[in-house]
Amino acid sequence: MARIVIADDDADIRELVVFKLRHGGHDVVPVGDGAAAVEACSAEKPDLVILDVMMPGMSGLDAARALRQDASMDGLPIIMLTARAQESDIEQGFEAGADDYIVKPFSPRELASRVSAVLARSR
Amino acid sequence: MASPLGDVDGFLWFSWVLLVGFAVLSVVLLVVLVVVRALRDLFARRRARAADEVRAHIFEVVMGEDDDAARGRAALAAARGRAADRVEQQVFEMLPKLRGESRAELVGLLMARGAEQRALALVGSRSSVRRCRGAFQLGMLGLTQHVPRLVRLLRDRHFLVRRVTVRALGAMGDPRAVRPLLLLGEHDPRLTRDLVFALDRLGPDAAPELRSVLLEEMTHGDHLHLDPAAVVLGLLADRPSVDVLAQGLGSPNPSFAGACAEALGRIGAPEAIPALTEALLDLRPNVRAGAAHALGSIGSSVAAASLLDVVDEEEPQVSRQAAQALIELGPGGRRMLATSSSPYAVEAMALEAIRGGRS
Repeated sequence: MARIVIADDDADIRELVVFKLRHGGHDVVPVGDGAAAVEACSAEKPDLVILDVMMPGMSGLDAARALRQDASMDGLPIIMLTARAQESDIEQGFEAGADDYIVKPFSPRELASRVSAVLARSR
Repeated sequence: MASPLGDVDGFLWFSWVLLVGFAVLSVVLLVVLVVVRALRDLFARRRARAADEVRAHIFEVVMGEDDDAARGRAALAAARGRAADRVEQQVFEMLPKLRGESRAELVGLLMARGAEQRALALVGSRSSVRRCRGAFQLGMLGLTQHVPRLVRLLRDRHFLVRRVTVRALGAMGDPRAVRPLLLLGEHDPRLTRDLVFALDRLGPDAAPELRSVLLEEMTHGDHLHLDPAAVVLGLLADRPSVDVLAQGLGSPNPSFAGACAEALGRIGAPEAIPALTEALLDLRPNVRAGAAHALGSIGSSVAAASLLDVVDEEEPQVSRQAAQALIELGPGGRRMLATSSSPYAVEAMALEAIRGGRS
């Protein structure tokens, strides 16, 4: 079981991810924007964070950069979950420090597999 | 003759009645207001609770294990009346967010409830709002046999219906929609962004049809409606389109020629470098700027000298783009840029220094 922070401003997507990951036995902390994700990561010390790219206020890319600059979050795996599927967008995500990239619309099964794979790699 | 004291009594009596009347009316209005508000909150809570129940069942169908999924499916299938409308509405709202087996599960559920026939009826409705809803639902169900029906709806007199239909055709993923969509762009430039989104959503299957439209149309006409085709071939990074896009750089339509340059840059094909270098000499500034940007994106130093010539030209848009392209070529490009006296060369190097690169 892992502790996972999920940040997405779309309540449906957030709840879908929470439902799927809780079903898989994970402890999930849902938040609605990038700033809240950074705060939740500081407070919860998660094993993984899933960030939507386009969010109000602090974007997922900015949140990923902030997490990468924080020494206490060293090695925290980041998965970007986004509707922006162009190659340049994916590149930007990896440059910001993402470990994996899932494009919306998404398959919940694929999400669960990617989460397992990223967690396995980080342990 | 009435006494003045009698008039005063009458006035006081009338005032008192008026005051009591107002007080009673205020209390009644207050009570009505409280009751209406309480009822509204009660109904809102009931609706929210019902929506939560439906959502929980949808989640069970989409993501639960076999037993959960069967229970969710049965609960959603059993809904009748208003509850059935709620189920359909929530399932349709969920569909754009999912793909794969989960999406197929929900589409199967809607089909079993007769959503296809209802969507077709909506598309034929006299109300434009209903036609929008019908087009959206047909697109979400992804039933490609109804592509011709949606293509007919592209001629609807209401802009919003045409817009929703363009997006619905994109969601269906059938390349037969490519030509009608491009044709619509010619008559309705306000839909260009939606067209690009829809054509991109059709995915790589649409690329052969887009290429063949470009090849056919570029031999005649003013290429007015071809910009989205070029843009989408670039977004799809469609390598077999390089030749036809390179040909498009010479189009008499500057907007289309610029779109071809942008697409070649996105594809990043080195075989387009000679055509793009030639386009740096084009008389139209937007084509020169597009070619410079594309050469920077491809990142080959072969065109560096030609880009440097363009940095020193007078058109700010072109000079700035060429300077940026030289930065993107790496240390060699930056060294060449340092020899230029153009203010845009200085600007590009300063920006690069701020971003943390070498100036």
